[in-house]
Amino acid sequence: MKISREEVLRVAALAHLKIEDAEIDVYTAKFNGILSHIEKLNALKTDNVPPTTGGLLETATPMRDDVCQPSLPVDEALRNAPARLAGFLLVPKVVDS
Amino acid sequence: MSTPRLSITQMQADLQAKRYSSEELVKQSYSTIQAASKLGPVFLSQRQTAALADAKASDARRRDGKTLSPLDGIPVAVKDNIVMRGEPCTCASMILRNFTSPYDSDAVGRLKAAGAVIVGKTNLDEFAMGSSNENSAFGCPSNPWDVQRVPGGSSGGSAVAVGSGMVPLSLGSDTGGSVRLPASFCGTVGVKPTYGRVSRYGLVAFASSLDQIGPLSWWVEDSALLLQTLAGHDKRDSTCAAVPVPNYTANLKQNLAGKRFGVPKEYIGDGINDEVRRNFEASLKTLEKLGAKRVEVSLPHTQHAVACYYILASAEASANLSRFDGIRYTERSKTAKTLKEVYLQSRGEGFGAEVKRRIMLGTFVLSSGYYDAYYAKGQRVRTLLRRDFQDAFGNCDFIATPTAPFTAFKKNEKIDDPLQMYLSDIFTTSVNLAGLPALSVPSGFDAQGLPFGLQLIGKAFDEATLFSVAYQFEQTTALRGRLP
Repeated sequence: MKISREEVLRVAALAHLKIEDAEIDVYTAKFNGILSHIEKLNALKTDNVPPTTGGLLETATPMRDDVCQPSLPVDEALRNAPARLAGFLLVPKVVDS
Repeated sequence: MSTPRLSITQMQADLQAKRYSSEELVKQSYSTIQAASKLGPVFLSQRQTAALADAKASDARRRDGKTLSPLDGIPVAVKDNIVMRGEPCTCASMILRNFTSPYDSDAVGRLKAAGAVIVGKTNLDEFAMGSSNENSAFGCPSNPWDVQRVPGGSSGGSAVAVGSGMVPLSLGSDTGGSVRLPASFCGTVGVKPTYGRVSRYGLVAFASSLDQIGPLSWWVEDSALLLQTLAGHDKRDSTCAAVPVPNYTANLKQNLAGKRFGVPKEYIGDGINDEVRRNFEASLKTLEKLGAKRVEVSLPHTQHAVACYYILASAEASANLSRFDGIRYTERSKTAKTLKEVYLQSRGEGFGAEVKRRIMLGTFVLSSGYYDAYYAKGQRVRTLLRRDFQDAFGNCDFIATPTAPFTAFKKNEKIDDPLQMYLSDIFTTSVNLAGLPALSVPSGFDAQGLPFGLQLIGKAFDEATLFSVAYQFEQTTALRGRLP
């Protein structure tokens, strides 16, 4: 299947990626090239084959005891934040007033 | 006239005998790095002052008879997607260009506990996505054997650092071949451990069900020593296996008589490069000379491995990279006004083209309407690939293949055709999909003097067999004296 320009823009929006107008056609072409290779998988019959979801050992997620452990101090945890205020991350307003 | 490269064991003996100190060893590492400017950006950051202090501390321990391990005082390089407290971790991306890690990865913690001296962070393809190191936002290092050529990726910097003699050991990460391919291109040993053998805590996640940290080294024994330090359970990574770690160096010389190696018939079909085929056949003869027996095996779904890998790895990557959003620890776009713009623009500006391509591919295959046809399909094909290996291992103890379909290619040769680039991984990706261990050992040189690699694939948690086969292969072929 061939992906249209509009489809590429839809996917970019879903992925929160801004793609410049000038780049969209290049992305669309390369995307389609990759997809046509990937589509060869459709020729394989997999009706009764279970999916592999994990890495290797099919074990249940291990749990730990609910005991408090020391964690990163707030100051260190936020040190790389682009904007912060009083121990919080500073972000643009989310809710319209 | 080049002097042969020393092994870790030889360095330890020299340090014990006071022929030189760890401080001198580390100083030499930095001079080698400085003198190798023709190799381009091999390191993205170096920590000379701190490393020399670590080296002095190692020397003091040695004087007090308190040497911590075979790695104590040895210079090591770490790929810049593995965090170290107080050091940058850029993942070779503009979006993390100013990020300094507040914590140590499990791997770095283990290196520190062993007394190893970390000299710096090495270059890579951005977020480990690539096969040449050309996708780095900070330039591409050069292959030490021919500076017009790529070192391979994504652990290109780590492979160059060892291949050019800057350090004897480095850490890389391997999701679809990213340790083994650059090891093959740069003439070093490279290992991808069994999935879950080494903790991923502190490895910036690309594809969580495929990623593993692995060693690169000049000598096989040194990768075994490094894996010995890295392997083991870590509660902080819930995918990390609680399987006991054997002694990887105890049986390096064990007799290979009776060991069977499988050669997958699909891997040596018509499409393979003639020089690669000749070198591979010669390597197989060497394995037979060492006493191992060749058996033909079949991995019938081989041709679907690259497609399966790109679907699953991109899907996982799209989820893992959604955290880079301009909010918590990345660059935030200066022109964004609304929250939505912060996300769209920070990510649009901060990620390179290949990363954006893979995020989009991943988002696409996970999206409503396409999920079953692509992602769910990919998961079932993964089961088929895994079963291929299980069946093959019913008839052999390890599998031998070429590591790469070609030797190092020229810079810019494949950068405009992503699909051509993806096909570099044709022999390596199915191993990650199956979760098995694999090792690349140098196996010769082509007509232009570029290195070949032999890949050995093992049963789950059987790295010990891979090390013993590779060690004896290395000793018999006696190729390690040839330097770039």
